Amino acid sequence: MKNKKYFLIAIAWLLVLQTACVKAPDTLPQTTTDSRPLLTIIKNNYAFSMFYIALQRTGLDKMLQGKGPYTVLVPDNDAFASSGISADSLSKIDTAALKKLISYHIIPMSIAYAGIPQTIDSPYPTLAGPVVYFSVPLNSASAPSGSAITPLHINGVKVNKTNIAAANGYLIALSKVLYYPATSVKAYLQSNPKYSYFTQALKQFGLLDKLDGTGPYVVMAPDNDAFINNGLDKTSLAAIDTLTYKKFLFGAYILSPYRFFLSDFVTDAQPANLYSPVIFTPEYAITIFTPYGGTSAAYGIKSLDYQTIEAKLDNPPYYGNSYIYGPQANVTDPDHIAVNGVVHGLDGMVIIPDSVRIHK
Amino acid sequence: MLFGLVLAGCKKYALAPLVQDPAYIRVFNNLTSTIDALHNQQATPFLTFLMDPKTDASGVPSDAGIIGDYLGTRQLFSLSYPINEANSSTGNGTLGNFTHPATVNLTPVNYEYPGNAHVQVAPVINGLDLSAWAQVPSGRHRIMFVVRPQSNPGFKDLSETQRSSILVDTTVNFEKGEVYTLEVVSRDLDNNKYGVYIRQEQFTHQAFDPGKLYVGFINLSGKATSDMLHGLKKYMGDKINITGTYNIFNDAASAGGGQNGPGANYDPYPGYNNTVLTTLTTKMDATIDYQPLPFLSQDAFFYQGLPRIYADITGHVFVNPLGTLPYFNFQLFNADDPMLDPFSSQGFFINCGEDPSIFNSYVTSNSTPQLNLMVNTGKGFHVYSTLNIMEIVYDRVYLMQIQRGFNEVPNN
Repeated sequence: MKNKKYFLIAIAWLLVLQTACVKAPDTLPQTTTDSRPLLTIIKNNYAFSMFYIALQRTGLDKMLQGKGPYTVLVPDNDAFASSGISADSLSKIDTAALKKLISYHIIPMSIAYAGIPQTIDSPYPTLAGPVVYFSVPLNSASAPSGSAITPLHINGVKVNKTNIAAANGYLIALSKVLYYPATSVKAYLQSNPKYSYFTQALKQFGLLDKLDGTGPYVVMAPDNDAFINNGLDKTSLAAIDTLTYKKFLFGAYILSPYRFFLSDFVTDAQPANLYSPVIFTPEYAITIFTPYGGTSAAYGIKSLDYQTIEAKLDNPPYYGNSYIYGPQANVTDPDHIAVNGVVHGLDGMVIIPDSVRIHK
Repeated sequence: MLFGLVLAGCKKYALAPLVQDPAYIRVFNNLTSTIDALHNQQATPFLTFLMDPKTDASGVPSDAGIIGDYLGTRQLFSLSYPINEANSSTGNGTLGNFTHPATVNLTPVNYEYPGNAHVQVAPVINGLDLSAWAQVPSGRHRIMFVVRPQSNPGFKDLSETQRSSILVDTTVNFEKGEVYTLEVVSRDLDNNKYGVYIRQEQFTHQAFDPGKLYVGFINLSGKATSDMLHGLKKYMGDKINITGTYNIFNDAASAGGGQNGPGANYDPYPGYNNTVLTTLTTKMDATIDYQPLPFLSQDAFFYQGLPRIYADITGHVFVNPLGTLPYFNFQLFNADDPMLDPFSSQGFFINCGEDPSIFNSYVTSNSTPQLNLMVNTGKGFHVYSTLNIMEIVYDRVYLMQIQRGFNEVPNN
């Protein structure tokens, strides 16, 4: 009968619906993983050819074919060029020193970008011993609209690409070759002739030896030209002593305990207020000015009563300029890492000696 | 047979087991500042709360009995029930940094635990609505707070490096039936010192007068930082004098007419005109001293049959911007610096008259929602008395408001 037919159809539908109710779990699409080891990927990429030659020379290449895991911080050929290393100069680097440098670019862990702590200056171990510091930008909205946000800085160096996957780890492409950390901030200053006047001045003021300590120290180092521009050549520098000048004439260039790279200040973690002093000491206030959306920083020393001075635009002797010891100086040679800190080179002196002369 | 077929195709969800001998906890993240290049050893203020964590050989937690994930800095206003019951994925700018636009956060965030977590919550105790407190087993527990990135993966899917940023690791003992509020605080920011402040709430044991409102103040600030000591950031002080005024809208004077155009006129309620309420001399106290305040009769909250209006938080209302509801104003003086005017740019006052339902969507300081809680009960509007806990952290006041009389059906 018709009713029976409809009844059967209804049952059939219910059966269909019932099987439709029970849903099998979806299978996730297989993520394609590269089955080639790190070494093969480096070898096959012409942009990494200089790094590959360095790996072969130091014998570190075999390790990158192994089980790992490793994360290799690879400077490409352009990075070698912007670090001032040509193929010729690369071949002249002593093998032991090259091995140290290349080992500093290899981390014995597998680091995907998503697994990096969302903070600045997270330390990661390297095969060479000293650590490298990874900085992830804290606030992606802080970049001016339209500009690209660099997702990662390592020791202040911009990273071009992360998550280059291999079977035994990852590659991270750098835009510069990393500096191998000096044994201490003092050792770096002594080894670099560009800062010889500054090193001598620190020594005379008894400030140099402590830069061998634990720190960490950030040293803002005015270069030799800065001294000469202020009328200080080697002989007149030798005549400056702590009896005639306040100690912070050169002490103001040493910040402790701090460790930061220029990119931390300029992009990744800018201080909330760009215009106010950032560090106060009992004798002066320090400003590190990074214009919003800019790529540079300027270091300066203000008087502690800067607000009173700035309110009196028409009054002598400062006319509203609270940089009463000397002008700001630009950070022109940043991110020289040492085991106990970082040295950033300045293009000027921020305290002119006469402004802190002790008048008897 | 049909019925059997239908049943066979459907799935039944098992009931979650009830918590035996529960204690009740609510967890807040009171970290008000993030890091910058000069403060890179401090914690970024986004955490995961772990109770009874399972750690591996090197002490890195990988799982826990209770995980309160995506714990962002608390909002300025917290009510008895979790306001963000639906999942929050866009951040609200709470006292945002005005030189940069507030960040839009497209990853999950929970402003308190339990917040929007689906867990069993506390019952009504002593007439107080405690549905923002989670039930947890009583007894000894290890609790940990781990700093985590603001990103999509849950705690268990973070990398080992990320899971090893442990900020707080301590053991607590929760007693059966007691109510606890846990808050992650910074004790000394300049020296990177953090901790968890645990308050065993006494309000479940206290007798409250149904004819009164209650407010309690507590100072949960850490040590003043170098920035605060040099006036770059506001800091309410180590010792705080608190006075209060209860402003009652004067309808006749405000309506004006003729030469007196409409304008807000308030009269202070007798006995509450710059009245000294309390002085806070210590920080991180274990208990709160609640001050009774007048709780007016229901008709004080209505005008010509309609509910009176809240203060305006948008800044676009120029007639009666502080509303027509009676509202409290508290002035917080730094007791160590008596010259400081609370109405100056360095001073602190709070007008408590805003609309609680939209309050957290606006970046504001110097105000809190109404202390009188007006609820639409279905039969009309009824005003409930409340217990208000004002927690002062550096430069802001967090209001935690608990509805009272929750177990009674209102008569009006």
